[in-house]
Amino acid sequence: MPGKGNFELFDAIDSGILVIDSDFTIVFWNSILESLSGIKRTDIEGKNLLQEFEHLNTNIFRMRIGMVLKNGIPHVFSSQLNRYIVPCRLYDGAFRLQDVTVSRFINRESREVFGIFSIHDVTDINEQIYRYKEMRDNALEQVNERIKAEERLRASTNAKEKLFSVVSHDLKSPVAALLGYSRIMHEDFFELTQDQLQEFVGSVMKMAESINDLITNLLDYTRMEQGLLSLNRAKVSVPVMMSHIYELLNPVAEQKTISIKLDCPEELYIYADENMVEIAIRNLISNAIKFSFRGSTIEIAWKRTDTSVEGMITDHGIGIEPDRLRNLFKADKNSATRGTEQERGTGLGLLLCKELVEKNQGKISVSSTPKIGSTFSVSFPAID
Amino acid sequence: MYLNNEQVDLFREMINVGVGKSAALLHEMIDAHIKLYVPNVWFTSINELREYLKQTHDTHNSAIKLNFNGPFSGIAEVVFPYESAVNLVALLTGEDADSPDMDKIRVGTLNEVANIILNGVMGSIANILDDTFSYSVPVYLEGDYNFFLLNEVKEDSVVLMNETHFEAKSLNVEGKILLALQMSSFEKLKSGLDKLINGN
Repeated sequence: MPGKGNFELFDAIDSGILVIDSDFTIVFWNSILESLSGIKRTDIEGKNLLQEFEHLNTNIFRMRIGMVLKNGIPHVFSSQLNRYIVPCRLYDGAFRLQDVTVSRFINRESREVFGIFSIHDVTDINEQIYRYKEMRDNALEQVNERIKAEERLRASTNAKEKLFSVVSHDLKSPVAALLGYSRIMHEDFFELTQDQLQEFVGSVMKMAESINDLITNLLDYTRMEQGLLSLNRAKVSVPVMMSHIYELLNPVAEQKTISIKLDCPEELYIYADENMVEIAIRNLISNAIKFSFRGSTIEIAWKRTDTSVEGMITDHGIGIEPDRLRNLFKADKNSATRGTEQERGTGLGLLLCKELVEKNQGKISVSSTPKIGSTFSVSFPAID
Repeated sequence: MYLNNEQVDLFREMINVGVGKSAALLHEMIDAHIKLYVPNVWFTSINELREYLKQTHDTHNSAIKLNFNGPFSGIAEVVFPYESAVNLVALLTGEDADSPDMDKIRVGTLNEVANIILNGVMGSIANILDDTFSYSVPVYLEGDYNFFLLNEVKEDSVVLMNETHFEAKSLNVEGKILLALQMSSFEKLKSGLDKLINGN
């Protein structure tokens, strides 16, 4: 074997070493390569590299090794682009990954040219990387889960804080006023004129209505937050639902000399929980009444598009300032405001509306101009 | 003025022939059309290079270094800014640029790709000058130029910088090919170029 004696030193190296001559004949196969490949040197030395390992018998491989032998510039074959040069199998049949550098060696005496393949097994490193990647992916997943849980907790805390603030402020004030009026009427009953009594009773009634609204909303909102408001979706006739709401709220509107103009096709359906959607629309119209100027008209228009059923409730009243408009549907930033005749809002109504509409796969939006009025729009997926 | 215009043109041509061969090889290897070209070649002293690099704040690079000896001796390097290196490897391997494997993949793949580029360039120089060189095994390095070039070359060295553009699919990757030669070696390169220009 030409020059074989020169390469036995490579048995002392802890990498696989393969030496070929300029005809691609294998002239040396070191002991590490014997262990890795399971091929004895006696069985392979003297054979042609390209014939023994067919995956190497390509133009590009021949060209690259030819360049090494001709120019002497080492060539690198990375495991990423080539996987392996000498096939060495793992216990599961997969191939070991190899980083290989091929260098030229010229025998000083014989001037023979050899290509030396230095083969580094990088399978274990890659396995470690993949294990690390798995660990990283799992860790990332856990972190994401934790972030989501924290967000849920924050949202729930915000909702609780909201409830606390509503209870402490919006409920306490009307109850205090109610107590005040009741005390005056009780203590000064015989001194008060009929007109004064009528005025005080009217105020007491308004306070009681306000407290009633608030408690209704609070209960609905709490049930919603606790997931107790179960969703029972069915085909809902929008005009039928609207006529219920109209009957309920038109008297309230009339008290403020506000007229409600309802425009709804006779055949219009949505697939939703009727109770939930009715609460939402009722809240929106109640708000419209609260924030409309006396003598104005509230326009309610429903229509069907190709993909959705849309309702718009437009009032002509105090409108909403841009800063407030931005945070209108946010639990932690929303706050109650007074109506055109100092009617109390709960600050919960719109949050409740949004959740009720969204639970029914609907959307809610608002546009408003201060001192002109607001339009609240809802849309639900269309059904036939 | 280290080289006259004619010498610079010839040298740039040699480098472009080399990287052209490398591009053809890479194209065949990864079955993607890759265009490689060197629009600029310039020569500078180590001190000038230091000043230039101070301004660029180019500190995170991947480099593949090849030492060579022969009619003239020096260091040949391909240097990619970190981001270009990651993009290039992602393109060649199909691996996500954010993959945690990227560090390991980057080393292996860049080593092979830069090795092919250096082969093309050094092969072209050797062929045109009709001379042979001996080479060290290529080494992968990361860091700034001080770490992988400036500390190693003698003060009287001349550095040949070649901006290299990779174009593959819609990705543009830029790198630099550097050849650092001591003045005596540089003079030999110059006379080799002159011989070619004069047709000797």
